This record gives sequence, structure tokens and C-alpha cells, in this order.
Amino acid sequence: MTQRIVLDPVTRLEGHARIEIELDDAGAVADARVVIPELRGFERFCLGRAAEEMPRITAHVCGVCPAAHHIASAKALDALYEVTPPPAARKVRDLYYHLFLVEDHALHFYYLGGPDLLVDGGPDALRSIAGVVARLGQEVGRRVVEARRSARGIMAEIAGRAGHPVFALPGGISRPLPAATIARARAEAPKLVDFAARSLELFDSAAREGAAWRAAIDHEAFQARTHYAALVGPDGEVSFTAGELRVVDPEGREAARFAPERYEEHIAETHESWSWVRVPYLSAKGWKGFVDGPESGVYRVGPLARINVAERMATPRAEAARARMLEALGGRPVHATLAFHWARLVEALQAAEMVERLAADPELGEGDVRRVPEAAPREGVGVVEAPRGTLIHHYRTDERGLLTRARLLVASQQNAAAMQLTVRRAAAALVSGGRLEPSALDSLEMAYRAYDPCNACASHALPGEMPMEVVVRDAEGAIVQRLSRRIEDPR
Amino acid sequence: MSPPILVLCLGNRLRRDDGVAWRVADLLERDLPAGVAIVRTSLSGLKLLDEMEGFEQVVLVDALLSGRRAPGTILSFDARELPLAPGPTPHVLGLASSLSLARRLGAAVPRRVEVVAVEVADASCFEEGLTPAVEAALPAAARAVSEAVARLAADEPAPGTVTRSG
Repeated sequence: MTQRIVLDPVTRLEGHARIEIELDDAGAVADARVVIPELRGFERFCLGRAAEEMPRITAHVCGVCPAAHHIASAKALDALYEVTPPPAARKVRDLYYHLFLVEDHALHFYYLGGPDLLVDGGPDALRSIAGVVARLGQEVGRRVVEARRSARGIMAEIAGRAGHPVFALPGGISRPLPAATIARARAEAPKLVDFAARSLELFDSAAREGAAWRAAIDHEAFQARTHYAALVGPDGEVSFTAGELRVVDPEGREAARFAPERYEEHIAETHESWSWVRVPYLSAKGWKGFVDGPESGVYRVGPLARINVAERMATPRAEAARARMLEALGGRPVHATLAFHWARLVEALQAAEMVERLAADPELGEGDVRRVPEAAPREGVGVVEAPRGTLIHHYRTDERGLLTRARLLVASQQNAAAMQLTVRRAAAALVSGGRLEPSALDSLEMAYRAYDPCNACASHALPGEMPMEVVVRDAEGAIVQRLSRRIEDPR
Repeated sequence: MSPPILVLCLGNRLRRDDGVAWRVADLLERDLPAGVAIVRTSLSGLKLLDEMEGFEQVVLVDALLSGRRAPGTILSFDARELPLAPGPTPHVLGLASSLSLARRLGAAVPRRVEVVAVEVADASCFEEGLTPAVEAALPAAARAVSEAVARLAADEPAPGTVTRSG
């Protein structure tokens, strides 16, 4: 018999991203799961507050994606107050948001996800940016730093501060964009496009040639034949800030397409006792557990989902890059989890091209940047595609605009079910004879990292590091093995 | 004049004691010496380094949740004493790993980072305001930051880990 252990979810005190693996009597994997914390108590915290505070409050929820929360929140307020921002306001928000996507995707590829692929095997210490620099040279490192600095500099001019935006308001933005900022964006945009294009070249020449990529891209453990969901623009193109939500099935056929405010008709949530995370699933399919396939309600969001859902990219160079990726990976939809990394770079190129397009737009500098809300507020939904996937803000208020409900559906939560599935498959493939090889930690981390799950909504207290810990239990629930990059109290 | 010193106050004031550094910033701002800049931030991991760009010397003020000291205890130490333990994503990358990665990448990182950390009781829920022991430690924490700033300005070495009750 197998024994099911109910575990407390990981806490800050433990400070670990924890994977639990349960074995059966034969020593094979009976179950495995990632324990993920969620935004506990946030909705209650918001009740009774003025809805217009939300773009600033939610930008502090997350230490990594404040830009995504700020813009999703402002869009929810536009809907709440039934007000359409003037074109210049929408374009300034879009400019800021696409700059954010370029710098965030670059950070992820070069610092976190990329090293898995760019540095073969090797000791732990090498599997880091140091390894990337050792392999590719200081020149690449310098380009990454320059591109991020450039994007963040323009973001700070638009938003007050790059990391803690305060500029988006219901109905628009706080001030017109200064001519000097527009000039700076025009001058810098081609460099960002060049940086994104070179990153894709680097991916082609270095990552795809590497042993890690070749071993894992087609590996059964790293496949998940799920549904996918993402925003698409009016022509079916990848869109980060506007459009309809589209769902495709594991064959790539459209399963649903709907206005974002109707998301609750299509996405339901289940609750697993071992986790704080409510797990979203497609209500048309129902909850069948952590399984994939056409009858499962499990879906994925994020860079790969966006490429699988959309018919095309919104910009020409990114479209060529997408075509190359799909050709290499056997066409759409791509189920290989490692392809998230490639998709991320294709998206970075679209985002950079969008920066160039927006910077050249004559409407960007217009002085009319706000419609003052006049309608009585009631309910509003705002959606953006955050770097890690679809982000939904949903507010309800009384007639004074004080919140009676605030719901945030974040990307990592939507990918939680698929991540469980991936980790379970990876664990099953890695355990032999009731033991996990120490090198399995690398593979499990790699599976986890491809999704880039965001737990940064947890507090920021030191020690701040959250190394992966893997716990293996036998059929009786006793711990038989523990693998971790442990951390001690800093003092 | 010596180059400016950054006092970087890290935390999330929506998560109870996690916001302690923001409150320390409020105290320090009342009597700020020349050549000292205060920045409040909720960014984490590598993005925290973005906030330090352009500064040679930084005092990082943060909450500490070890569970092994009385809430309100204040620690001062050099950031080089922090352990390295890279996590699986950028969202859980700590200060030590972030500094180390950026340095190896060739990015500009501060020459010196001193940490002033306040042991906290509760940083898990969404609520504003500090728990009483942490609230009471604010003046002592602000003094610890001022002393760290003075050490950096005089180019004196860190005295090793200093612990004091709030």
C-alpha cells in the first residue's frame, strides 16, 4: 500500500522550494509534488480599500513583476469605471510594459533558465551566469547588463521608478510623456531589437547544440500534452496587453475564445489539501487530477502557451523566429516543456520590436492622457500577459468605489497543475531502485525552472535564499532520502 | 566630498513586520546627513541590485526571520558574511547570490554592502503595521543604520556581527 502524507506547505522559516516524492512498495514513484505557497490573505487585506489604490498596492505584492500587476490593475480600474483611456495613455502604458518584458525575459534567460542549457553538465557552481560568461565571454555579459539598463532607464522616466510604477490611473496615465523620453526611446529601441535578435542567435548556436537541450527537449518526462491559454489580438497574434483569451486543445484546435471579463465561465478552481494553492482548470473539461491529454482540464500559460495559442507573432522579425522554432520542434502545438525557454526569446524579440513601433508612433506624445471616470463603479476585470503567463485582476466595489471583492489569478497558480505533472514525470524517470541520484536535483530544478514559478509574493525577509529541497518517502511515509542545497541561518 | 552612500530599505509594508525597513527609513529621513540617499524598495533577487546601481557603498536594511532570536533583535554585519545558496528561480535568489552573480557577470556592484537586519515576528500575513517588539526596536535600528553609514563614510571596517536588543 502507499501512504499519503499530509504536509504543511513550505513556510518562510523553512525557506525551501520543496518537492515531495512518495514511493510504493516496489520502490517506484507513487506520487510527487511541488509544494508552493500562495497569496494568503491578500483578498481580505484589500476589502474596504479604495479600488483606485490597487495599481500601487498590487505593484508591491510582487518583487519581480510589479509592472504586470500595475498595468493589469489599471486595466481593471478602466473597466470598473467604464472609461476608455485616450490613445496616448494606452500607448505609453504599452511602451512601459514592452520594455519590462524585454528586461525580464532577458534576466530569466541569461541568469536562470539559460545556464541550464548554455552550460553543459558541470558542477553546480558552473551552472550559473558565471558558467555562461566562462563559456560565451564577457562581451555577452556586458550586452545583457547594457540592454537591461537601457530598458529600465526609460521605464523609470515613464513610471516614476522602474520597479515601483505609480503612473497608471483609472482612465489613463498621470502625465503626458516628455519629448526627451520619446527621443530616448527612439534612440534605444533599435539596440533592444538587436539585443533580442542576438539572444536568439545565441540560443541557436549555443543552447540548441548543448547536451542538456538535446537530452531533455524530447525526453518523455519533459512533455505535457495539455491545453494552453493566452491573450490573442484581433488577427490571432501574440498580444501582451489587449485582446481576447483563447484556449487551444492538445491538438492545437481552438477550444474556447472569450472576452477576459468572462473568464469565470471558463476557468474553475480546485483545492488540494497539501497545498495552499487553489489549482485552476478548464471548467468545460472538469477536474480529472494531475493528468494531461485532451480530456483533462489542466492547461498551461506563459511563453510557450502564447506561441501555441496564437496564429502568428505581431511583428515581422519575431514571426520569422517563431516559424523557425515551430519548424525545428515539429509544429504547433509544442508540448516540450523546455521549449518555454525558446518561446521566451521569441517573445523578447516581439516586445523589442513593439518598443520600436510604439516609440515611433506620433500619438505617443499627445497631451490628452486621461479620461476622468464619471460612471458609478461596480465590477471590473483587467488582464495582461505577464512574463510567466496570463494575469487577471478582478475587482468588485460598492457605489463609493470601496472594494467588496478583489481576486488575483496569477500565472504561477495557473501553471501549478502542469508543474506538478512535469515534476511527477521527471521524478518517475529519475528514481531507480528506490533511490534518487544526487544529479537528479539538477533535473528536477530544471523542470521547475522552465515554468519559472513566482513565489516572490512571499515576504522579503532574510535569509531570502530558497534553495530546492527534495524529500523522498517510502510507502510508509518515512523519509528515506533528502537532497538539498542547504542554507544555514545567515548569522 | 565623498561619493554618496545609499541606505536601501527593503521590505513589503503590506506584510506586517516585513515592512520594518520602510519604517526605519521614515525615522532616518527626519535627520539625514549630507551625502546619504534613502531608497525604499520591494524588489527582490537580482532586481534588488538594480536599485544599487551607481552606488559604491550601501547599507541594506531588511527584516530577518530566523525564528531563533527575540523579535526586535538587531544585527549588523557585512554582506560578505551572508551564505551563498542559489535557489531554483530568480524570485528566490538572495542578496549574497545576486551580488556574486552580478560581480561575475561584470556588472557594477557596490564595493561594500553592510546589512542591518531586524529579527521579526510575523511577515506571513497581509496586514499593515508592525508587531509591538519590532515597533519598539525602530529607534535602535535607526541608530544602527546611522552607525553603519558613519563607518562607511570613514571607511572603517565592519566590526564583525553586532547583535543588540531593540
